[in-house]
Amino acid sequence: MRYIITAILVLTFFQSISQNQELEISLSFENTEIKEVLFQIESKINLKFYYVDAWIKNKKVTGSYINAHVNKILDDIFKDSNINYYIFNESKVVLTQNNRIYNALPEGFFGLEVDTISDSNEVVNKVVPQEINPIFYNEERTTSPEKVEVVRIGKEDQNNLSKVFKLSGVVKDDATGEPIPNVAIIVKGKRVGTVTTKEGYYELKLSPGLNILETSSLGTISSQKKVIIYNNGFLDFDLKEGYETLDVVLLEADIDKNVKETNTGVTKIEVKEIKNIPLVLGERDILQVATTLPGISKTGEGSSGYNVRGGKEDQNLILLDNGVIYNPAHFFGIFSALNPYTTGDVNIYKGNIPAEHGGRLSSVFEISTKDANTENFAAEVSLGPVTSNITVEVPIVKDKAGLIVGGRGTYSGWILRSLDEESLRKSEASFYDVIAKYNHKINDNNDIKATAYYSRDAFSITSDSLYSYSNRLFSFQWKHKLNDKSNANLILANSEYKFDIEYDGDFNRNFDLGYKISETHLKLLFDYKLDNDVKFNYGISGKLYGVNPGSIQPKGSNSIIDPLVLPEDRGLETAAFLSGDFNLGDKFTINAGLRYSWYAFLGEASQNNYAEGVPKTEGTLLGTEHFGKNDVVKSYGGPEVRVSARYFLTPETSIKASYNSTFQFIHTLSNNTTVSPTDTWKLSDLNIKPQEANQYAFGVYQNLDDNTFELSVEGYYKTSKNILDYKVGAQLLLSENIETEILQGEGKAYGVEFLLKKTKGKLNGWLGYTYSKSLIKLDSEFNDERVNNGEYFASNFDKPHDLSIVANYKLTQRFSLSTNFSYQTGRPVTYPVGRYFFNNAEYVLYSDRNKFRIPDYYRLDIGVNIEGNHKIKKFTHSFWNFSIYNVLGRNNPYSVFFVTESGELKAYKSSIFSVPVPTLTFNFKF
Amino acid sequence: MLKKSINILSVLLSIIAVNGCVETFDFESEIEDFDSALVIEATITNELIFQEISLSRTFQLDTIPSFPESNARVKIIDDHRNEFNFEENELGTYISTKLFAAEPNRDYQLEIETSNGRLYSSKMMQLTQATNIETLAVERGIRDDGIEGVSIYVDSHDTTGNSKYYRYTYEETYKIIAPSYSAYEIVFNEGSFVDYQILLRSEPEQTCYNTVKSNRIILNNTTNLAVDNVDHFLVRFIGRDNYIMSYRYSILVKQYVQSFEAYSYYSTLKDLSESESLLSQNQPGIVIGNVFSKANTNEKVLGYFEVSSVHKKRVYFNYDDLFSGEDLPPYAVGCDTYFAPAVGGETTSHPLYDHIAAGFQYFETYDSNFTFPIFPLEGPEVLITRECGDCTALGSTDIPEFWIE
Repeated sequence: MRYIITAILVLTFFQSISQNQELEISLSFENTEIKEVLFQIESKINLKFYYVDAWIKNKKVTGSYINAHVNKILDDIFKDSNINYYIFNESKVVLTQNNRIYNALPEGFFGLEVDTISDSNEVVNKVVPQEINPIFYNEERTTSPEKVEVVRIGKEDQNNLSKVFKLSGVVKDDATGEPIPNVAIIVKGKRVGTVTTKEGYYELKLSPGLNILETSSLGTISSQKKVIIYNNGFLDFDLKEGYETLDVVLLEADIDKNVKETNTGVTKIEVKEIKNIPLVLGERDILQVATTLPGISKTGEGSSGYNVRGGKEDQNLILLDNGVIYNPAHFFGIFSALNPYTTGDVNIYKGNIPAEHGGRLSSVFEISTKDANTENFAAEVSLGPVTSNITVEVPIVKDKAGLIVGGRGTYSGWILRSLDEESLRKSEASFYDVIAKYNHKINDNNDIKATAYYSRDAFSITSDSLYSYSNRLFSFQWKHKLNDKSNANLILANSEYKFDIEYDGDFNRNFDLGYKISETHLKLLFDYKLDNDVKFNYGISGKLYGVNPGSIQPKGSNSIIDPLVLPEDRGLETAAFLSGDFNLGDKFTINAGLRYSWYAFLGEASQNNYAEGVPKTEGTLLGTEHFGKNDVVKSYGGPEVRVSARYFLTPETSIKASYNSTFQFIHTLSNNTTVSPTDTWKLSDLNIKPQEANQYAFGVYQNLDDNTFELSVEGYYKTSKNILDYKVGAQLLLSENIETEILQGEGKAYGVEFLLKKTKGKLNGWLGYTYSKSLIKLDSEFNDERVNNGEYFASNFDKPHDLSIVANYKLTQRFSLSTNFSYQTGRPVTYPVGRYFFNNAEYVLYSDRNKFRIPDYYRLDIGVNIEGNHKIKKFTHSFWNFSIYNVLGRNNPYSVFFVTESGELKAYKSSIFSVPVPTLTFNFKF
Repeated sequence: MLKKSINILSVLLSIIAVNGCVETFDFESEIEDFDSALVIEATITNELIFQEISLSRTFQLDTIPSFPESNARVKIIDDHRNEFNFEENELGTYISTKLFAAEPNRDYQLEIETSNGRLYSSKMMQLTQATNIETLAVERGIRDDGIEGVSIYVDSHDTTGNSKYYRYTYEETYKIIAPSYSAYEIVFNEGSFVDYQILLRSEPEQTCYNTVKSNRIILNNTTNLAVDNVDHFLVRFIGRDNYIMSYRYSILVKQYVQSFEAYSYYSTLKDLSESESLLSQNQPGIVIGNVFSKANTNEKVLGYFEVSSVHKKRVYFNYDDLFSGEDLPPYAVGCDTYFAPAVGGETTSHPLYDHIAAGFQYFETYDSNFTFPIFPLEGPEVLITRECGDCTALGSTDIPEFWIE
């Protein structure tokens, strides 16, 4: 466009002959091409028109004028087009498309000058001219090989000073011409966007001038149009089908999620984001990444649980495609049990938990598996030092159904066998996991997805013992569109977790010990969209638990172990829930949910009755009551409130607040500080009450610099009760009267979480910092049920300062550098403070519980990623990752313990990775 | 046994993880304040004896341990208001003033008033059921971890099924024979550092006896078993190369039947003091016993007042009974010989005298005709480390009263 304007200016300067003449003519034409009309005018008076034929081609006009001013005629001719004209030197007429040619620069073009008020009281009365925003557009010479189409919309109207114009149109399939619903149309660089309706229709309010519109949706190739808005207008998009745009959609659609999301404490991790983070032993681990975000931490390296906002490890509902995973860890938590190559993304709710989820106090990890490619066969292979991984995607019904299968296994068995140490050579330590997901879009109204998952760890250290544990999961989801406004989802999931210890050593004490929990969950979930501002989610859910709390069987004929099978515990957890999203104006949204949970411990069962008001011990046992099959032994229940609200202070700044209450009816029993594979889950029963929590959260969120930076500060305060703890020396495994070993106390946690994220540019990553406290109180009038004199003390996972920095720098398209750094306050520990003699030996006197802390934790990792070249025709696509874990070689204590060795007390600290660990992995896709 | 496997597992894991490590560290610098607490050792049994109670105090980690609690008033009261008074015998050790045995179905309470005027009392305790040791077996064999040696097993049967919880202590006594014993000794002339005579020993110090009490908490329970049988429970294991069984060895094993609470107390204490694994650990803490301060219930009081039935049994064995014709285990110390001339290189030094004063024993005198090269500053007397020439370094020459050859 620049050359046109230049041309006009040239004309202006050199065509300086002044000719005054009468510009009134008589003319009549009917359904005549504009070009022809212009010829007629040119022939009648001395006027010369300058224009591009294409602008007026095939446009016909009708009119009849007698001594009419040529301006009047031209006005009429171009009334319904986007052509403007400009007459200069009274002999030349320049036609322009969309643009107007101004004969003077607008007021304020060089900045508005404001008259100062003189010292005298005389007020200078001045009319401030209306601000005119002429639209100048210089086309940038883009280097992009694709030519972006430039579209001009509307005719500039000197009198229309509106700052917002409406653009609407239909998005259609280029091939079929059918409208495409759900296409996101986003204005690049502005916070404006919309999604097409079912009819493919969209409407956008745009500011005048250049707007770059981008369309993106599943199943279409993204397109971009430069739209210059002069006035209201229409613009249709014809899109080509394609599958390449998935990542872009997610990224762009969520660009303002940080500020826009109504719920507090929501974190989303995409696999894409973690691809470049340095690895431990070559495993890309989505849950490991979660721990770099504020509010989520692990007790230490080699601990398989997560502590979310000061909650215990058992308070997280970890869902893989709607099914619960009880132990999401391999190898004691060094690796997560989720296949990183089939995992799509993870949503973590640590603040306001949606009402559809329940049963855990602290958080929900919603992990979803990628949908299989329904078009082409695809495979990805990863080779690492400890594990190898293969993922295959197979289309079953083209464009409708596909299957993704991923498998991962270790070769640690081989490593062990090659060790010199005699005792280790015989041992075994291996794990594997497999996942398969089938997705089928039956028709526009019905979608089904089914997932099967199995993971297993086995380790046998001495020749006499074999430990193993496994997770098994099936889930099925049927999504059915009821009508334009509502959908129904039927979810059926079954999970099982079990572990087993086989001991084959002592000549007459060999045994086989087992534990198992399984649950079957049926959920019916509806959503209903009343209009753009009001949406509802509601449904019912039922979960049946079956726990085999432990069994021990003698192994071998001479074993004197008494076979013991603790009777199965059964529980039913049901809930009805309703939640609504309400947009109250442009700025205020509220998400209000209510969940009513009802839990019953079911017979057949024998339950102990204890004397009231005294510690539950074998001595206070009054008797045992027997309940028949399916009798309700004890029920608990109550409403859970989930309310969260968001208010936009500015378009880029919002504040949110939430209140959340939760119940938990199932608890882990563990006398370890950290999660271990022999932890068991126990259902609430007559003597063990459900855990309860309340959380209040408040936060401020801001996106800066065109969503390049996301900033959030969120604070929370949480109280909980009936949190399980144990008497010192509790025997948890195979205990027939587990309630005599347990204490239930009150918890209190609070903290402030700060997150700064840079999402775009060569350098991206995030910085998270949390200050938090997690406290527990175990009080009783009885000494052996009271800890630290019944006052609040720091929980095992209270780590006040937690800092994580994750950064990735893209050097070129193929090379990138990444690093992460983390720092945490050492976790609380109980130290020995003195010694004493007892029965000829020296013993240790311990401090109050968790009075001291282990040394602080910090770690720096770096990584280099090298992508194979991106030639489209290339058969395989490869990816190398080289990373060094713990570059500083920091000997981070994982635990501190004290041992009385030959009568002398020694303090030890153990760490898992105390020197830098380099790893090289190679991935390829085809 | 679970625990052991996990321990080994952790070693494995650390190897797999290339470099996991366990190392010692200094934590004492972080501990500043320290309150001493009273420690009570009181196990009253059904034996008719002068019962014994020990009181002591906790001490700081870096001090030398000797903190008996002296000058306390100690008594036991039963539910018939009978009082059994105790008197301090040695520092911190209190002996009942009369013989008494705990009786079944009676409540006993311990009361203590310390010298600083604080009052402590225990919960009411009852005597546990009496269950006898049936056999105490000595067997040569290989332990689970592959180490060869001698195992001492207890078998006990409780037909009522009420005992369930057992604690064991033992006292082992063994004969020691000094391997490099000489019937002679070096005696220096009165007032001289260089002139000496070699005389027959005034005391024969070749054969001694030593008695050692167990210092581990040894517990067993039969709650997992179909019958209340202590079946071949390993109380003591003596490694093949332990010199204590070189000649004749005797062990007295006491079996205490415990209440569940007492068992729990000891078991917690045991768990807290024994090696833990890398990936799992106990919740350490103060193990609350059954004695409390009357004035301040939050005061930490350690130890346990136990009223327990006891049964003991002794067994003997000779090395030859189990290892006939085999080499003896290595002696307690290496027996190296030393040459110490009466006069050293400098005339003021007198190595022989110094060595004898330090406990070295005369072994033999080199014959000057012997072809062994003798350096000017060596010999002719050959000395040996004390333990090798004088058994009193490791025991006492007194034969224990109970000893049967």
